[in-house]
Amino acid sequence: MIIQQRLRAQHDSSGFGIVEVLMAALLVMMVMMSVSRTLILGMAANRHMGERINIESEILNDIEIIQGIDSLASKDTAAGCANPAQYLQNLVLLKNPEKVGNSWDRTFDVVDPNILVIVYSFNRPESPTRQEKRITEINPSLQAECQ
Amino acid sequence: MKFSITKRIRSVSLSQGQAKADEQGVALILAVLMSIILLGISTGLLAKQLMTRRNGASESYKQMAETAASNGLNRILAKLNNSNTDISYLWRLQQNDQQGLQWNYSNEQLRPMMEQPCTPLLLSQQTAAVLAGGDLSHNSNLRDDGSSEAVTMSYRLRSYGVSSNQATFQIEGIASRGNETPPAIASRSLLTRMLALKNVIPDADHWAALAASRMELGASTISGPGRTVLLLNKVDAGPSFVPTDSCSASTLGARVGATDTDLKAKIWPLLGVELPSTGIFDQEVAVDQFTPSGSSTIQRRIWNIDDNRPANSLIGCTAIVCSRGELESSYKSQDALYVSNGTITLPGSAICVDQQAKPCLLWIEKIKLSGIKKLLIASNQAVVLRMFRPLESIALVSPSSLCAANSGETTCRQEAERLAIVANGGDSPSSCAAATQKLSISGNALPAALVLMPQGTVNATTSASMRGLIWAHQICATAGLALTTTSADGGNVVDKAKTSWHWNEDLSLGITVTKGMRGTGLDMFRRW
Repeated sequence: MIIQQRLRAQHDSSGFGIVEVLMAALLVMMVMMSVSRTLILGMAANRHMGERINIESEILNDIEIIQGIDSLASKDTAAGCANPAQYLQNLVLLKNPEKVGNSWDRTFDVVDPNILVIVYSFNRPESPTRQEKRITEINPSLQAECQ
Repeated sequence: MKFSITKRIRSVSLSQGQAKADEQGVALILAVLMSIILLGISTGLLAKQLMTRRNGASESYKQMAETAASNGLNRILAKLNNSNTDISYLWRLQQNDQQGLQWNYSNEQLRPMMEQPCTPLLLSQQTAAVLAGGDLSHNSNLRDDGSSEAVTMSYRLRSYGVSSNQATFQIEGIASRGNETPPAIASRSLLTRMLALKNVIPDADHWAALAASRMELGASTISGPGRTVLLLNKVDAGPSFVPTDSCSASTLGARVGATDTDLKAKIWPLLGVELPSTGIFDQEVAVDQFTPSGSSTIQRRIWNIDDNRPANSLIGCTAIVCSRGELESSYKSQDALYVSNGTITLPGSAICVDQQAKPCLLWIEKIKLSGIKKLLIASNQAVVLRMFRPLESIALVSPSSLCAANSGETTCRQEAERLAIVANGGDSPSSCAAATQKLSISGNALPAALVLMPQGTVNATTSASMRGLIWAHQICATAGLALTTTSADGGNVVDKAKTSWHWNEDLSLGITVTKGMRGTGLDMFRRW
């Protein structure tokens, strides 16, 4: 009986009340805010992803250049066989020096004379205070010529 | 107070009549639909962002895994190609589930199956561990993303196979995350890499000075660099290298009947290796040929020289120096041209006419100098004497001699690389008494020469000496052969021969070291 009276009352009323409208507006605003925040985060993630791809591509490119230098290096066994890794490092520094403005750093390690260790470090695009590394080890092809 | 668009609409409707019942509440439905759409969009964007982050991390791990595989290959190469800790024999062994994990075999198992059974087996546990795999992170976290879990990379040799001169590695590269042992695998990559193998002989002292499948060396000696290489059948002789002392100087010395201590210490057995082809002297040579009288065909000239020729042994020639065209049966005497006093001189101008810029190849049916005459081949070019038929021979009895000299000179040159004696006939005899293609020498009858007779015999009938190299199926020198391998100018015979005859870099006979050479194939990565 009460429900029928209310339904009748609603039939009698015309449209939503102010409270309903405000509630609806609040809901829409919340949804829109979360959407916009997600959009902003998504755009930032895309930008970070792009930066990461650029950095990693540059590092891969540098590694390939160094491998090319190793392959094309003259097999000067007299100069290189005492420490092939040092020999290759010198060639790399001469022919492919680290460029100013790179978003990554490159260091060498020749503790093992038969392996040139190259460490690339870069700040993570997602959190610039934290670092990421790529380590490449190259056995100089000259070593195969050494007696 | 009521406020609504529907009120106005309804007001209009009321003024025009009663609103339809099924149109009531449309605004609410539209609002709900709009909310669902907005919720869907926001959820999609959120999912995309999460996927982007995840993809970024995943791509980094994959790159680390590929780098790890490549780094692992480089570490293994550095070990296998290291001359200081020579473990190059591993290049020729299998290390896979199908053909066996031969790198792990005991020395007794390995020796019979190796091409060089007396190679020092120097694989240490430390080196074996590096070959099997290991960490590549150099004690650092490769990805500091705020988590306490370290990101590391490592490699593992999955398989190694060798076929002929091609080696194939399969190496797993692994990117891991976590501090536990072992850490959780974030990504894996499988690298397949093929390399060319090359046999290298480090220096002249590792080359074969004497090489044969069968030897009776007696008091023979080698003065200068070089080894005595014993070529053995792998199936027959392999098991004899199981005992620990099978490579001792005394055991090997007994195999070749040697008594000289220095020579015994220089014996190097090879299993399943054959002598090089006589073709190593055939390249870039001119063949001695002519047009016999009465013939219109240019033919190879066949030489038959005997300073004590039995009567009626040849058709048409009883002289010391006889020759014929290869298609002729009758010989012509050449004494008037080439024999003078006690010396037979074949001048450079008479052999390989019009091709004197090249080494000259003479086909020899017989050379027999029984102590009466000296045979001098006086040419500024190197000369190859090649035996013509399987049962023919060159027999030199001191004080006769056969040697090369400069054109117009009568003094024997001491450069072994100037005179090569080769034969590829013969029947690989198993005793020194067997009739076969044979080079017999005594005293200093052959002062300097390179000798290559893969199926023939070199026989020192009495104590003999010469400068050069002797590679033959059989060397019979119980009377003693003093071989000198240094050159008169202070170099060595092997290096001179390699240079003079342009031997291919692939040619090797002696103690070889195997090297893996890059640049012949591409890396193939497979992810899973």
